[in-house]
Amino acid sequence: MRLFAILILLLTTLNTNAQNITLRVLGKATYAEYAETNGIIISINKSELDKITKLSDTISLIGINNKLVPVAGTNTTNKKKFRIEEKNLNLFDKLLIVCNDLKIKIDKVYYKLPEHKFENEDKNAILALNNATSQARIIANNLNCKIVKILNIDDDTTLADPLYDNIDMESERGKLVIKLLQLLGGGNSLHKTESSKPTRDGGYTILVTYKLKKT
Amino acid sequence: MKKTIQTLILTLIFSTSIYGQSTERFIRIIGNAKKEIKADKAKVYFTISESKATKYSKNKEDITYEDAYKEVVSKFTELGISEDDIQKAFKKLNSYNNTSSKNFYIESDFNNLEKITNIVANGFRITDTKYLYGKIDDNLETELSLKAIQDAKRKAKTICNDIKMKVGKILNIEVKEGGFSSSTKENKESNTIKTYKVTITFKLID
Repeated sequence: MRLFAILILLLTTLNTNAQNITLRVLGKATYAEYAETNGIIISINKSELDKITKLSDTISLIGINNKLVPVAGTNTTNKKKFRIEEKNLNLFDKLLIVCNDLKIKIDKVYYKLPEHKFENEDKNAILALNNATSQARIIANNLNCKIVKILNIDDDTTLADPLYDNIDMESERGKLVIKLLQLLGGGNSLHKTESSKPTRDGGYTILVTYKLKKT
Repeated sequence: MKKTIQTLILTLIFSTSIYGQSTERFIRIIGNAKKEIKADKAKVYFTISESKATKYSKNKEDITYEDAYKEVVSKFTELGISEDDIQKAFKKLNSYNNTSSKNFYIESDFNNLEKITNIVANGFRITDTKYLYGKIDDNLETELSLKAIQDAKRKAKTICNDIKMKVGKILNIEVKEGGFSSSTKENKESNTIKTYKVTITFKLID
């Protein structure tokens, strides 16, 4: 008798659980952060340092107020490097022309991206969650179900991927692997503000588990 | 009969407990923090080599390795750097390699760095400059971990507010990144960004 009662109870519990449909959806939100300014790195032979004075005077005349700044650690026996940044694209074009006229070698043209702020990820997380909910609604409608409630929310941003777990982010090798993965993904590093691309593309993903009920 | 009821109640509690555990509602959020660290020293790699006089060179006489070395040492002495601070470095496979050419490095603070790189001496050539992060603040890890926890809390709250739910107690904390090494590391950049990542699981409440 006792065994029978236990069996009935167990079956009832299992049956109740079986009626609950859970749905796990990956919500995604993508975003892009845009460059705020352009910059160049120039190198000058130490025997031609007077060109720096000429360049400074010329750019000041055309309306560029930013100054040439020596690039730390790039000073070698023969050459010295400087950088200058300019927000106004017309003035930046003029800067390139001036360098060309003065026969100054431009080593690099780069974009200055804004600093990535973690606070800005909040809205992307919500967008990812909304994306998951939209997908869940479509699936639930097709199953003649409705969403009862959210059971779990699991933050799954790119670096949380297990793929990154074994990478030593501090080592040179680890940094190279991350860079390679970012290049393959077509994005820029999250923390680098100097880039060869005018945008920093990013994404936010969230795994959401919903409880569904048959309508 | 009494025993049967007791068994039934126990089974019911047990089943509910198992069911409750498997469907515990949670929100798991990754909190991030970062801080820019500035290098406190630099390591300048350089080569000292003999130079042969050519019709194009300024010096019309050969300069032996020993003479070049002496000249470089005297230039360093002028900057307050003694010969003992000049350390031998391994040769790179693809570096310029003649019989009387040796590679060295010197550790310097930022005050002397510019002066060292401006040294002009026969047979002296700077090959590389790397930065050292020797003094990472012991409290940095604590500071970043607290910031990362705050970041996770804020994000969890923002998400829950949007779906009209509440963030409950912390169920689990998992550190995904961190553990700063106190050893000195060489880096090509004079600034580096230290990051910290923590995953926090909160109870999700209606």
